[in-house]
Amino acid sequence: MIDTILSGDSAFGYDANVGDADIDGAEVAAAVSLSPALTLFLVGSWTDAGLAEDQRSPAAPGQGSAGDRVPDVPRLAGNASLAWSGRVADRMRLDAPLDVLGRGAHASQFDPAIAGYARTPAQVQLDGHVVMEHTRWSLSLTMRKLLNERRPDQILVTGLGERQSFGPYPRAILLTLAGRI
Amino acid sequence: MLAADAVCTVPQQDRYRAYVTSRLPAILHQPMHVASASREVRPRSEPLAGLIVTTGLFAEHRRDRVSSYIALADSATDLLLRPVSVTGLRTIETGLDQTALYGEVTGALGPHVTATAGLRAFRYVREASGTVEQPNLITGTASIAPGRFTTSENGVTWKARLLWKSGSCLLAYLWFADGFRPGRVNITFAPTGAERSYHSDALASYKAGLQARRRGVQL
Repeated sequence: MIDTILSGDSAFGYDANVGDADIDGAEVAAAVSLSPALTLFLVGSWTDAGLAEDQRSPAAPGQGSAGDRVPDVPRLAGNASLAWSGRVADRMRLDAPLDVLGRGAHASQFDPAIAGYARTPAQVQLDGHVVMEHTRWSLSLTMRKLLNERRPDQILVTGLGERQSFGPYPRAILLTLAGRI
Repeated sequence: MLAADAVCTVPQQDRYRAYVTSRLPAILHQPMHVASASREVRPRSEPLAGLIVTTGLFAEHRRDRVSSYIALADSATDLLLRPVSVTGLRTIETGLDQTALYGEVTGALGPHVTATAGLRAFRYVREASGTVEQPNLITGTASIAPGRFTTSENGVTWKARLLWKSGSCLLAYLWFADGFRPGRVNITFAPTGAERSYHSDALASYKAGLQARRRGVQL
């Protein structure tokens, strides 16, 4: 497995082959037709990713051990989507899904004793889409992070001991108009 | 410059502390230029004696260049302060050339079972180089070794799939495959020879799945 580890002075990260990892997982997905136009989609996944052997890189300031969880891999993730889809006029249809996406907390290092260890908390995101399709054109409006959540995507620790959060993009609205020739 | 075992005097420490404080808050600003071209030819046969054959040739040529600035940030907004006040600047150039030849065969093993088997032979070459335009005295980027470094690898990956379908309501599959992520070169600090580059990692995956559909519910 390739993983990013910190340099001796914790100032830089670099990639290395750190040893074998075992990843077990399961995913369940369901689509339920609530009405001819309304469908509920549910997806949930469980991932158990861990080192299968002690970390091989001797230069790392800390060592992962067999059984440690692989960094930045949430154990649980899932999303739910409620989608309306139907014809609104002659040769024109409308799709309008509303998505809730979530993922569990995850750590930045194999073990709390390793320099630069930090945990990123679980987060939930709400997205909305509206797509109007004509035989000759389509118009779509995508709204990401409708609630304008400000939780960090990832938290790391620098060599100065300060926490840095690589923040998510803010609430975003994307308007797309496409034509067929 | 101090010798390795030398200790700064108190006035030197005070001057260094004042310098670090004057460079905060800091932000990492990395404008990037990427040029990438991919080409793929993938002929697929019509069913012949119950078999469908797909072959392909893939080639990618990618070059990118990053200017990595550590610069002062606006203390009110945490955004990059303009005009840019540079604490340290490195430029990093990397490249990837990879080619692959692949093929797969799909055939029926019975009225409900379909099997697929495939092979993919690959070769890649990674290259990277870095230049310190302005050393960052706080993080020590002056110690980054200049020069161009490469790593390359050849290999073969495979996959196999069994698909069982009963009517339009039930589908089960078994999937075995191995793959890889290309290795590359570390140029972000002064590594030892062993840390300079790393090879690809191998992924062996086994997947079993079941899909069912009944009265408006699909699982």
